[in-house]
Amino acid sequence: MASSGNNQKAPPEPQELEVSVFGPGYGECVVLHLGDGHWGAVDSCLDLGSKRPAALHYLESLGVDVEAALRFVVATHWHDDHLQGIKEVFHRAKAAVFSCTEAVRQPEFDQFLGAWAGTRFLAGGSGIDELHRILTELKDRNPGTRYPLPRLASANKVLWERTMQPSATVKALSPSDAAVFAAIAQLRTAMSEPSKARRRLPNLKPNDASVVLSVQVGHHRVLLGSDLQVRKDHGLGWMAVVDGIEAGAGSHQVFKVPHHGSPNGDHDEVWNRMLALQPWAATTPFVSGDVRLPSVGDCQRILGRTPNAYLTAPPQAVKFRDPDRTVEKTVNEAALSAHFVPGKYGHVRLRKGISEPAGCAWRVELFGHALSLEKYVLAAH
Amino acid sequence: MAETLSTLGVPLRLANDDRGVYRRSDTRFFLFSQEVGHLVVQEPAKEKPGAEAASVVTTEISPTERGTTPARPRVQRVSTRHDDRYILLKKFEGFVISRGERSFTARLFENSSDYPVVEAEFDLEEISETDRELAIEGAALVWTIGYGYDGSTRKRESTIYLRRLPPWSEKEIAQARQAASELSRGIQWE
Repeated sequence: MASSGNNQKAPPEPQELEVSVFGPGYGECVVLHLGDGHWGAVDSCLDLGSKRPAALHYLESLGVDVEAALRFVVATHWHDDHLQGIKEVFHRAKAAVFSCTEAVRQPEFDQFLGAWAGTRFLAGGSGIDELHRILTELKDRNPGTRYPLPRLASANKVLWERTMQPSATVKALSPSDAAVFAAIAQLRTAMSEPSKARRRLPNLKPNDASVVLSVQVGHHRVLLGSDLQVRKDHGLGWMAVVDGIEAGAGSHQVFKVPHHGSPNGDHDEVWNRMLALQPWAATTPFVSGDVRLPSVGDCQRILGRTPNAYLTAPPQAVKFRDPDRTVEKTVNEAALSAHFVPGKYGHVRLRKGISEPAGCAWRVELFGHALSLEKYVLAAH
Repeated sequence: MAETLSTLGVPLRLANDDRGVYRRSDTRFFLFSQEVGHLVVQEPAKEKPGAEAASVVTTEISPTERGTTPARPRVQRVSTRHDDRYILLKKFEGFVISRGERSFTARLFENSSDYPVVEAEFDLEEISETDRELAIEGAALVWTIGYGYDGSTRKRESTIYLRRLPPWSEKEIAQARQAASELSRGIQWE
């Protein structure tokens, strides 16, 4: 059972696991406590109230020493909505291993990164800017190497581990080699060329180079699905992950549902082979343009897999408002629609003692606009 | 000699000065479009007997002199300044995030640190024909909302235009790639 959280600032016990999912409708961040005061952050979005990176805002509110306790920061892919504020998170996390997709190591990525640097003056920033700043910080951190070296994420590569009991491992399950090549081919299509008008980097789809993570602490497992999609090619997307999982790597009890609950991130084999029966699932909404994820149908599909499913906020736009009535009136007249992005914001928190049995229920707390999928579907009807 | 009077007591200028003086065709007033305040010049009617020739040298009349000015010419108060002010109420900058057949959607910022930001969908009819082909994903745009004045008429205006940014140059691209390559080589991965 989920409860409406009333003490968001209460830190977990040292021997307690935590999976916190933040999502404002445009952006996503997962914060993990792996026991013994070791924390990790996967992707980044901004807290709607403080306008600061959600991970930093939350960890500081718990009284966590971010500099020492945040042990890994992962950027799963370079889409804007997953990287807002991640450079600030990593800058503060002096003890953290940084990981991102293997695709950034390819020469084509250098060309891509460099060529789009010329659009940084445009309003709004972008995920590629955030990544560029992290790479700059990594370069600056290298001399002396008192910082942990960064690790490139690829299928079945361990990104962070703790050998002392309780043991903990953070392992990448993607991207596959084929996915890296596919991502590089995609980058080539987006290369800037002389005589072409300067513009902001468009979002590249699909997200073949996304990093899916399997987190294990003792006998507890968490699967973080990033934005990975299902592709027809067995070497790409979720099919490559499912085909590549090692024996005994299944039965994750918690699932960060990929790609905001979209049908293109849903694969039967993931639920059948990689997840425990009726796992605890959480996802974040996506509200942009005319896209609203997850749809009510998506929520019903996920509820068909597990009743323990939660959403950090309903995928609803917040209508544009302005203190100046003339501005508000003009905006609403000139535009077919106008709204604020992100709209609503919430936090789904799951906690469990490391010593508890794997099959034992997680304690779910909901903050802000977070709600169960069941409640969302009922309200929608 | 014709005299001029300022209804606001502002300094007066020669009526035949070439700085923005024009004559309304339906009156005999010279109007100083560039001057501050309201200024009226009455041209002496040549056809009237006894009228002086319009040498149109003007005389500033100070407030102290005003009360003692004998035989004031016929002066009519009119609004003389052409008001073309623009009062900006809101300016958004942003970029196109998607383009459809009849509309496009943009993400908009008043300041680069804005959060949340505004997303708006526009009919392509809202932008000029020449801008429509520029409205592709990633294109930069500006949207201003304000009041424009045309004389005594105030109009509420919404103006959307696509920014025409300079194209990439070979040199820029080569330099950017070189910088990125150096950045990449400077990172030691485990």
